[in-house]
Amino acid sequence: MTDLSAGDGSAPARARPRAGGLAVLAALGAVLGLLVVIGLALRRPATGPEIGQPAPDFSLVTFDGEPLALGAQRGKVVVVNFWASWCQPCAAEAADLEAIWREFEGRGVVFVGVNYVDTRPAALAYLEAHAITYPNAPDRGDRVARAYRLTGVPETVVVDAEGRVVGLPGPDGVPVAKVAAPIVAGSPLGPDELRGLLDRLVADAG
Amino acid sequence: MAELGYLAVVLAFGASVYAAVASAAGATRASGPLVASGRRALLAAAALATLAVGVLVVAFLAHDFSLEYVWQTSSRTTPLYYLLTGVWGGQAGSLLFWSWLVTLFSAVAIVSRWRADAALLPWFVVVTGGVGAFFLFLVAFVANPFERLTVLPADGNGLNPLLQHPGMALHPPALYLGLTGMTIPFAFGMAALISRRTDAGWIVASRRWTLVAWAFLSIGLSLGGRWAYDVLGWGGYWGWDPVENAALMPWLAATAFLHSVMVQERRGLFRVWNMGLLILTFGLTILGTFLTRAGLVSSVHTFAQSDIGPYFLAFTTVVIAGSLVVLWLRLPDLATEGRVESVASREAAFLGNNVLFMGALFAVFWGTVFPIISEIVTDQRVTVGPPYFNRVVLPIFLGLVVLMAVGPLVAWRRADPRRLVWTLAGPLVVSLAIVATLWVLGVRHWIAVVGFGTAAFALLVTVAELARGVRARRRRGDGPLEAIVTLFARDRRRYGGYVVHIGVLLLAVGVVGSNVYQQVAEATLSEGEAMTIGAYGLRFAGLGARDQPDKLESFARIDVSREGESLGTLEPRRDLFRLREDQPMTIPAILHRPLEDVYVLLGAVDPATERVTLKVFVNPLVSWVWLGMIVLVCGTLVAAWPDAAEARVLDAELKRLMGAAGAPAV
Amino acid sequence: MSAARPAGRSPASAAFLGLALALAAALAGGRPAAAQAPSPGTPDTRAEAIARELNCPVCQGYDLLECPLEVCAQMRDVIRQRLAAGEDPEAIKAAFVADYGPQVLNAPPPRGFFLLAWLLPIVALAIGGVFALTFLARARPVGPALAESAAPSADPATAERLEELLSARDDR
Repeated sequence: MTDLSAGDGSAPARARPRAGGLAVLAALGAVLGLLVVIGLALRRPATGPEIGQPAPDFSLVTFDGEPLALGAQRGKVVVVNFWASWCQPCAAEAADLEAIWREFEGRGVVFVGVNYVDTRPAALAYLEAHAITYPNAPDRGDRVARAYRLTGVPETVVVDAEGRVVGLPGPDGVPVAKVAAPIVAGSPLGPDELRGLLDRLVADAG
Repeated sequence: MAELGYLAVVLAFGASVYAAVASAAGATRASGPLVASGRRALLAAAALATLAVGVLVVAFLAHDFSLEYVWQTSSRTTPLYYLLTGVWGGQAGSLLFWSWLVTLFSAVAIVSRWRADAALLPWFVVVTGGVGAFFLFLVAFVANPFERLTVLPADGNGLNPLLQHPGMALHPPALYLGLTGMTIPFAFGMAALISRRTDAGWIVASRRWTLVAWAFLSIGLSLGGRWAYDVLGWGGYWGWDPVENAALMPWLAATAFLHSVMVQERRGLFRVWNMGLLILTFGLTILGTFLTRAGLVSSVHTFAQSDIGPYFLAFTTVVIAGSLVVLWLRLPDLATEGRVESVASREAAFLGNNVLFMGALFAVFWGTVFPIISEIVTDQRVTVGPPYFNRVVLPIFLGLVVLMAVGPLVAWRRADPRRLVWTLAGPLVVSLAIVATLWVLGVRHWIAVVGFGTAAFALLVTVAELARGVRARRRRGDGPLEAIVTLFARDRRRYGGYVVHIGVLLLAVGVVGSNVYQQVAEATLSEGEAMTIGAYGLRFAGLGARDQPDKLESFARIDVSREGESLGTLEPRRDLFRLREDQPMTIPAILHRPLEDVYVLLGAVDPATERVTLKVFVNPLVSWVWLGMIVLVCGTLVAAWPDAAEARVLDAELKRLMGAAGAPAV
Repeated sequence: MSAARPAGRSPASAAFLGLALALAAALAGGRPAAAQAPSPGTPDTRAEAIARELNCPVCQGYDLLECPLEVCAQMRDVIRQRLAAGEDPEAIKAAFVADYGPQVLNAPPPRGFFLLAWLLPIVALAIGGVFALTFLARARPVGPALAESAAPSADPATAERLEELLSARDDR
């Protein structure tokens, strides 16, 4: 607002009005502050799983009540698979995942299923329907999904024996830190590709 | 062919940059040839941008899938109508569309006002050239719609099914017309500041632009609401989604500006405030499109995330900070020429109007960015949804409705409060009677009582003002219809404004009714079974399917009746687009009635038992929302129509009457 | 109309300021109340009310009641079961927050840092109001009112027409 102190009838002085000047400076400060905040927000997506970097750690409680922590699996190759009972592509890959798990079970490989935004009865029904035997835990509070920058289900991350994220075949041949497609025949990472990858990782570890 | 389009974009970018630089140089050195050259360059940029858009449209029509953008947003089976929608349906295309509109509008403004505002126009070209250059830069070097794929696909990916609705085809263009339109008043304002011509000339030059841009924003917002209602299938039309808010915020600022600028024209007050408000409005249009595209606040429609975020951030900073610095430097030029003389005055009412609009704007803004801030500060993502916005913003809108009743009656400078109260007393009594009648009829929820009562009050006052004007004309001998027409013809701004207010009030009534009294019911039915909701009965009469070139429609036939009387058959459906089978669309079937809508959604269909789950809403007074918007747009058309001749006629009559009454000329 | 009188400090102006404050009070009163019709009783309507206050965690922008997804229907069932088991709404909402994170609530809980979400708009409006009232408090009349000075002796019909023309000119 402009300064009204020139109320005695004299011509308004040509000096910068105090109130107006302060308001403009305050506005400038607010705008710059806001843009700094937005700038910070824009930089955030840079984190998440990166190839060669340590995979974000997590500790969950399985549906059976057992603790399940990524750090505790050091020394083994870990396949982390995000799924939900309402997700059709997850159902498509479930059988293959279980089969591969059974093949590699004693060889230093662990499969971990993280249940994303689901209800317990539906999740348990899914596990039973697909006869899944590897450990599964609900992602309480959505923490793991956010740590892994989940954009949907299913997504799969493979972690080597030293706890680092392994590069997986991506859609254009460029390696990705996590595959966002079901592990079915025809995908860049299909069941056979996963078997081959796990063979290599186990050999490197052992 | 696509290369031609890309070349046009690059040349347009170069032309815009040159236009800005040449005009700046020409203005500072008072060099006529440089200024003229800059002007021609901007006109050339507009022509080149038009060419680029034309090339893109042709590429869509010809199904040129070698272009990645065409492949992403269309297919061979996409209907013609939606092929055009694809042009602006994705990131790169919408940026090109935006650039085209900015350069085109600037060209039109330059051509139409070159002689009238010769002093302002060089700096006007600098600003619009700069803005156009930024967007063309993005198109040319960051998000290029003319980029080719390495292999030629046989068919495209198809347009996102969400976008295949008539409302959605028109909603982005309408919004963009509004948002880019705001560049013009902003450029005039900046030009006025820089060239030190801060009298009311720049306001007059830009007033029609502001009004028309505002109208398009209103249209765009309501089309978006209609699309959400018809397609998204959640039974409502406004979800306080971050992208909706991004378009609402400039609308709020622009509405405040439209009002407070009248005080500057009439009394010379609020000059610094108006300039600040104009910068805010323009800044919000850029910030809004930035928030939408950078995917910062995920929402129902998120553009694919790309690298444009940092560029937008830089541009927004430069534009807003730069404008504020210019404003700071030119503050002495904006000293006020008058003063507010009384709290009981229209100036004070407009001040109140602005305080409320700024309050609403801040609330919407804060609610939209709070999830981002919360995530940065506490590492916890929080949702700010309708319960927040409804509780914080709607009371402010209620205050604005009250002002809509009081404002038009308050005189400038000093009003007689007794006369004001006397004029308000009649409508107040009638609206209390209306509230009492509604109470008796069962409308007792306090939000509905307060909302309907206040809206009725404001409606009565506005209509009474219109009637008074008509009555005065009739006393001078006009017939009834002639009186109305002449009333609007002679004083478009005022009476057009009243019609706009009436539109807003009708909308308010619709909003209150549809929010407070919405009914929901869900049921699973076998064929022949029926469910009830309110006074309506819905009977499931069977399933059906329709094969379209681009999709498979599966629908349920629902017979709707009310108190035994059949109202017809609705066919809510699920569409499966062949190229987007991961995105089935649930399309509601809506029975529009004057007082309420019956809105039916087809949920799951159990293939084994052929039982369907239906979700039904009864949405009262939704039609009033659309009606209110239509009235609002009509009112804006009236208010924006040029009427220079009328002013002369009125002035002559004024002089004559004053002479006859023996008064000194005013 | 009687002769012009100084309007700046008259009781009528004070009444006008009173109107402004009443308006502010009305707005403030609107804030804490719920937006939906509170209806007691049937588990379904209570479940609906809770679902309205929860957000679909998968598809931002839909509340749990209006979300068409199957998982949201399952969550609505969970709400109904918990209500039937006798849990109170706050506990149910807290359980959802524990399971899906604070983003499952439809509005920031008015606690701790999130309180800022609710407070700042009120503060902003208050600041704006204070500025406006301070500005208006300096209002002082300058000279007599317009229409009265223009033609004090005009007959009623002409006076009304004059008033019309003058305010039409004002509005242009």
